[in-house]
Amino acid sequence: MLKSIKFLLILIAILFAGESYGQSALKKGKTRILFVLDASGSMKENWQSNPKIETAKIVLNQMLDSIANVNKNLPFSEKIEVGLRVFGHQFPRSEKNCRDTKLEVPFTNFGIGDIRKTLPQLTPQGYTPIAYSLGLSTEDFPRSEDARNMIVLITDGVENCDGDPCEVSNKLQRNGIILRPFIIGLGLNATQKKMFDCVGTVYNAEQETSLSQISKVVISNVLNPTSLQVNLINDYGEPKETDVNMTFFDRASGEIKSNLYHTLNSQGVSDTFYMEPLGNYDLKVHTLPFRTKENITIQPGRKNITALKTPMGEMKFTSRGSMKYPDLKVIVSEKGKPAILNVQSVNASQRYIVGTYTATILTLPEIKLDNVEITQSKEFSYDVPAPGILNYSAKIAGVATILILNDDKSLTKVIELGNKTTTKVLNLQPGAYKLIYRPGNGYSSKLTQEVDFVIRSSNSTTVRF
Amino acid sequence: MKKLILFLSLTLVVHFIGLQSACAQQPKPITTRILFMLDGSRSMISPWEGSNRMEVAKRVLVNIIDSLNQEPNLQMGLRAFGTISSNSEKNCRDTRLLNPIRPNNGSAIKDKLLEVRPKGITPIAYALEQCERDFYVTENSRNIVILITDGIESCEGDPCAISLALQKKNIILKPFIVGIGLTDDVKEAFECIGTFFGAGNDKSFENIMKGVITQILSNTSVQVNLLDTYGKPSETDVNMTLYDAFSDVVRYNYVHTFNSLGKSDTIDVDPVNDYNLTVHTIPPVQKRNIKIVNNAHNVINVEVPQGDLEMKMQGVGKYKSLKTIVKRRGVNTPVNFQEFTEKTRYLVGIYDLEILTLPRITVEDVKISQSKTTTIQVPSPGIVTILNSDAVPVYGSIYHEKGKDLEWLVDINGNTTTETITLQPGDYRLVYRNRGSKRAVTTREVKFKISSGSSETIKM
Repeated sequence: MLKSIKFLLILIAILFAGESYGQSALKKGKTRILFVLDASGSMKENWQSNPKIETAKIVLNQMLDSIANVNKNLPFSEKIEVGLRVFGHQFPRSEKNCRDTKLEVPFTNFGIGDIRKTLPQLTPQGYTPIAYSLGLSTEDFPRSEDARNMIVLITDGVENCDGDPCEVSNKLQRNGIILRPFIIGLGLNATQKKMFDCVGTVYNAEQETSLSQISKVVISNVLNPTSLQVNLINDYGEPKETDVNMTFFDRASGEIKSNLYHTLNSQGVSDTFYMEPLGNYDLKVHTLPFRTKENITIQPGRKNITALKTPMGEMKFTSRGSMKYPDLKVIVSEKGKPAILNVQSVNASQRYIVGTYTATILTLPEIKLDNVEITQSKEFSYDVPAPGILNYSAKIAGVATILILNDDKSLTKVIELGNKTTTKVLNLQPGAYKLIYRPGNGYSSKLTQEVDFVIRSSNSTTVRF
Repeated sequence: MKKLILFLSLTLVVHFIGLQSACAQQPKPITTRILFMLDGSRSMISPWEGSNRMEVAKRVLVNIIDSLNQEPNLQMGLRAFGTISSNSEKNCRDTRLLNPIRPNNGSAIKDKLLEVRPKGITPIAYALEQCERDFYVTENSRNIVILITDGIESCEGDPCAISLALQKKNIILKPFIVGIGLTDDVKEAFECIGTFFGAGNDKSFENIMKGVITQILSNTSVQVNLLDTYGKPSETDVNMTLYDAFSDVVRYNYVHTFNSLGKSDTIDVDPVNDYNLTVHTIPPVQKRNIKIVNNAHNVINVEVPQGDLEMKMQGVGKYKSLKTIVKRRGVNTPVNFQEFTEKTRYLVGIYDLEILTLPRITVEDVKISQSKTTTIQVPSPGIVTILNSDAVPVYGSIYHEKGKDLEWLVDINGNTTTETITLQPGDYRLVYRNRGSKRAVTTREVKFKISSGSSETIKM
């Protein structure tokens, strides 16, 4: 354990050179692979030279061979265990049985042999309850910490019961029961393939001959997963920032490949996740402002590591007191940049990258803060003075302007009350004001009247004309 | 008409009772108070124009006091300095109020004036400072100091600072300084105290004194014309603040008004001062150092061409509050944060708008034209309701799909069972993960589309 932390620290140190660094990192501990085989009626059909079920059996046997090969070199405690769940093979299609699924080979040390023995006995006939089968797989995996539980689903079509395989798969992944499943598709069409995208990583064989290549890729991915660790570096150079979403774009096409919310694993280290080793990625980390890292190369079959500086602190504006603003907003910009970075609500804390910001609180009149300093892991907090209420009423609607008396005794317009208004209730910041009024039907500016009033927090003031 | 206005004014005054308030206009005429401040330092006995300076000063002052004695709404007083101690004593507090400011005290002032014997030094600053008490009255009045002197401050005082302080406290208007036997080359030393006139001989001294009095009592009128984009005085109904150009004190607020003939009406402005004018348009327009010409009708032209900006959105009520940042093109500081539903006047020109919807909407190059209303139509929003029925706290954000890019829009609360967010029409994505999760792969995302008036529900 200590060793692995030390190792990680060294890796992190290397990262400061700004390079992506690959390293084989097959975790110690059990790997368990549950093969889920589609034996529904459609698998009887011929696909190119053979019925699909026969092709599937060949592919499965190939993968078992590879696993047996790997197992030879592993100590007993680390040998890969396999199991087999089959669906659609027990009841004829006419029965429309949506619970037709069975764990034919449970996880034992003899799984490989047991599967080989079971395969010839399987006859495809029934329905395709993929979601239901995936759901039951929870119980198929023996409970143990630190095991890598994988599912490899081999199928030729999509769910035809009412289940939602995406939801089930996501739920199992969220609960940490399984890693992202692999789906080997036998001649799936584009629509079918798309439907499986949310279940896991789909490898679709367009033709029979590409299957053995696919099975090799899947097994290689299962055994030597390609993964990526993103370290978000704080102001002290430590990879401790987290809980921010990261969007990965395919660098070539610009398409979004995945969104992953950064997290620290149980050891407090940036979590490592599977990344398809296809092409290069551009990463956008959704901090405020966002940070990017371009052209991340993923070395296949390795753990890849990259790092970005995203030192963050928090900004919060509070508004207390009995007379509150209904929905007070604060405009936040990076200092020296006119563009709005964020419009923040009062009483909610928001993280920003360490630096200097300007904030304009949309009170009446607005409050401008020119130097909001955000420092690592600290919260900048500003308590907005509670407003007071001005009750304005005029017997005759008129031109009414509220001016605020500045420190240098000059007057700045705060707001003009519509000249059809005879009453108005306004939340104003504490301060000294003048209300200048002239009845709307007056023909003389000498009818201008002026009232000085003071607004105090949580008090109300009435001005009548 | 006059009667009606008077009646209205009185009615309005009644409303004021019980309020901290002041009228810009008093229904009754304002009293003018003049304090003559006479230099009685020893140099005043220097021979001048066949007599001496003091004798000339006394003779001219007596004439002026006689001419003012019957003037209505006028009060006078007399203060002298340098008349108590001899020059060698260097008494820097040598000043006395010989006649307090009162109505009808012309003959009393003349009596005291004749007794003045020049002796001492010139503590102008200290003497000025005493004016604060001399003018002490609760009633609104125009308080004017006329300083008659033949020399500059001879104590340590700073008469400029004292004068400015008194003006800022609204105790006095800008003083007049008449220099006996002084020419305009010493003007600089006095200019910071007030308006200086150098009198080289007795004739010019008398003329200057008469001129000063005329200026004080002059019948001067001021009209502010607010010009539209065609140079016509068609703009009105906007508040104007007149600052004293010398002291920066606010002197008047008037709402610009057309009289019954549709012309800019005449406002009362004290001709003694120069002014800086601020017209409270958006953005405000300033005109500095406006000189008021005595006994004349002064017309001040200010260009404030304006048009209206209004914004419309069906279902605007879905936003709890909605403001629009209004900037002049090329200027970073906003000129206004317009309430979405309030039609607002702006100076004619080009503006950039940023409407604080979710996501924000930028509207560039919005043209405000003379007397026209520019209307910005904003698409009606929809709402998304996020249900977290398990109440497992999540980290989550809504992103705006912009082409192939994802732009962060807003974090969801993530700790409530139901959350409703108002969004403009567009394509969005909710990305979230359980707060307690130790695996990044447990991140989930939901794409959704909002159209005007639509209501989407996402079950987490």
